[in-house]
Amino acid sequence: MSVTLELNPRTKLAALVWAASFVLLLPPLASWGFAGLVLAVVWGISPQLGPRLLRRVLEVTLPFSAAVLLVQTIFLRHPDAEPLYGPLNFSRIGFERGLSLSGRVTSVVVLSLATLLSTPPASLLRALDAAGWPPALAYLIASPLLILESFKARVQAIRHAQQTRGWRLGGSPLKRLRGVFLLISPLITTALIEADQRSHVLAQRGFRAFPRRTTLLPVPDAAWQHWVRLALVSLSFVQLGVVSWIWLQSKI
Amino acid sequence: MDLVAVEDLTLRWGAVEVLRGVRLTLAPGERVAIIGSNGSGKSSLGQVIAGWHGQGAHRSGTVTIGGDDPAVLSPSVRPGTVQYVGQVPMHQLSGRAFSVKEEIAFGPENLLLPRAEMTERVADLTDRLGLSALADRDPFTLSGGEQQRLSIAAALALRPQVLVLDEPAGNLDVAARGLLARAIEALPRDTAVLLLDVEPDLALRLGCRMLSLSGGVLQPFEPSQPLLPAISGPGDATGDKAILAVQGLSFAYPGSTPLFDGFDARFFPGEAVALTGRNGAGKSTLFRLINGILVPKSGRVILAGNDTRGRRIDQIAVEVGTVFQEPENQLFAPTVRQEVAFGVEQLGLSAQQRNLRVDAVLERVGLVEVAQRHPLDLDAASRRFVAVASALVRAPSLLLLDEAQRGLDRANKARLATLIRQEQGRGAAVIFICHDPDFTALYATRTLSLS
Repeated sequence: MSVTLELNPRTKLAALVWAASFVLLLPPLASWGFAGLVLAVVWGISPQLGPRLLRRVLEVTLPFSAAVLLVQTIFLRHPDAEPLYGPLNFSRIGFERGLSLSGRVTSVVVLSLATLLSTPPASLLRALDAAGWPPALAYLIASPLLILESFKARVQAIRHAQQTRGWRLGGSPLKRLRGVFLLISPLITTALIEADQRSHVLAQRGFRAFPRRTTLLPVPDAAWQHWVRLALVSLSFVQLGVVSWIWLQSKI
Repeated sequence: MDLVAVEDLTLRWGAVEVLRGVRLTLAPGERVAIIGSNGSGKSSLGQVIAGWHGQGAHRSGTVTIGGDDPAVLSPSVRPGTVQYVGQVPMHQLSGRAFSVKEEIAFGPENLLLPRAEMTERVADLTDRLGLSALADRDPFTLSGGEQQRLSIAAALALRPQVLVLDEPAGNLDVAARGLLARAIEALPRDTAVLLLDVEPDLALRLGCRMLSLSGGVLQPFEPSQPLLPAISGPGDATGDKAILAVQGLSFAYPGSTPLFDGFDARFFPGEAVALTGRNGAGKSTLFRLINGILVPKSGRVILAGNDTRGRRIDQIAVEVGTVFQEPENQLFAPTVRQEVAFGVEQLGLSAQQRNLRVDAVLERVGLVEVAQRHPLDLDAASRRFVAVASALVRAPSLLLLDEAQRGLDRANKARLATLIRQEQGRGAAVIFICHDPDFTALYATRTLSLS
């Protein structure tokens, strides 16, 4: 765990870009193996992080993978499709395509979640600030992580207000749907009000007054990590070039 | 020469005239207080001076700081020129900092100050505003009072020439008010302070030049404001069977020291109990343990003779009505009427019964005229009363008010006190969290202090 945590977040981002482009070069089944390998490595480094990562990966990729496999294998009409039942077919080509697509997506999800779970958003922002990234760009990258917490807090506040006025969570699908509607409108309204307030607060405290900002608590960044990042990003470009070339060859 | 000059300022939102021909000057280092009731236009004036307004409002007249319009100051100059700290502490946070010290450093970081300078400012301000022990906490997890001190520290970190404080003591306990007053007194001699408040206490302590704002017009301050009225009602419990009994309650947030360790308390019909204690003492947490949002580590909460363990929040809500802090974050219906009606819709009453209840509560709380307006279009005091009405409409036997009197002017405090007395009169118990000693002394039948 210490190795992954000690890496500068920008190095982790560069590694993520490299690995995501590497996945595109892998044969279909190998992408599943790669995803498993990443999971195993993370689990080995951090026994605390491993189970959390596995759970999140399963939550995100299982429904997606199942849907892709079903659609490709049974619903889409591929050249080798054999009738199964009514409008349904079975296609081995479709099955392999589904496996390939879901494997690649799973690999990228595993890599992204591993990066996300091992990188505190505060460190990411500080690393980007220290590197002189434009404040707005750094904010854009980190904002999903920042917004998530305040969004969760607002959802909870509205839910608690509704529950303490007698609203029961759950119930029939119709009641659940009404519950969703009861949340959406105030969330949007309060988000708009808060956004207006926050833009004033940011402006009066000098956000974007200069093209870059500094940081009170810089994240350690060794010289060797700079070279590693450079190598990873360069390699990513090469890999993406190879992928594009292969794709073009298949079209000619 | 005047540092701040406001000349014939008129501000209008649609058909509503918020400020009318306001003229105001502040010299460098001068302390000026503007006292006004809720909705009198104080916040609008403060925001215009800070350069916030412009879009959506019709404005005439001029506002200058050091000869320049603050709204068009360069982004790198404005932070050191004027800082405005608003009433709702959570809305003053940058949303980009993950700890108290980072929040304070946010402005200096933007201005590319040297790290040693930032470290010194952060250490100085955390110390002066009593935030040292909270330096590594996430700002969004702080109590309202702690957030308020943090937002003031964050503004002071930019060392502005003009500091505009909008009801800065509203969320603060007595000790924190003292810290705030001392922090203002310790500001550089050339820093001008504009204090906007509903009560003159802090301004008098700071020796401010006093003005008052009424109906958008700035006037000399009239010191003989009416005092809070005494309102007749039960002076003690009207029943001997406890509505609420808390027995051996223990609770701690993960990773924090215990807030409650074997806490016992009982509350009876007809009582109005003031719950006091410093910021972060666990007052709001106790409410959340009572209404079922939080679950005690050990101990029991007995409501109307029944243990609340295993009961859902909505089941507990049959007996308990809650008005949270900052209700604007908890209003969700498109009109005041629908907001108030929501609670009674869950009681399984007929449409006619529901309408009767809603009409009666809107009348009682004084919201009939705004019943068809969006709750968030109302001023802060009216929004508070919408939240109060939404709890009252269910006729709870126990009413929990989390600093419902905070930021209210005297007329609105009296309006709230009348509602508390009415609840006592019908046999309900009311527990209210309060940092206002006058309100507590006048309207509480007893005080329970958490430490």
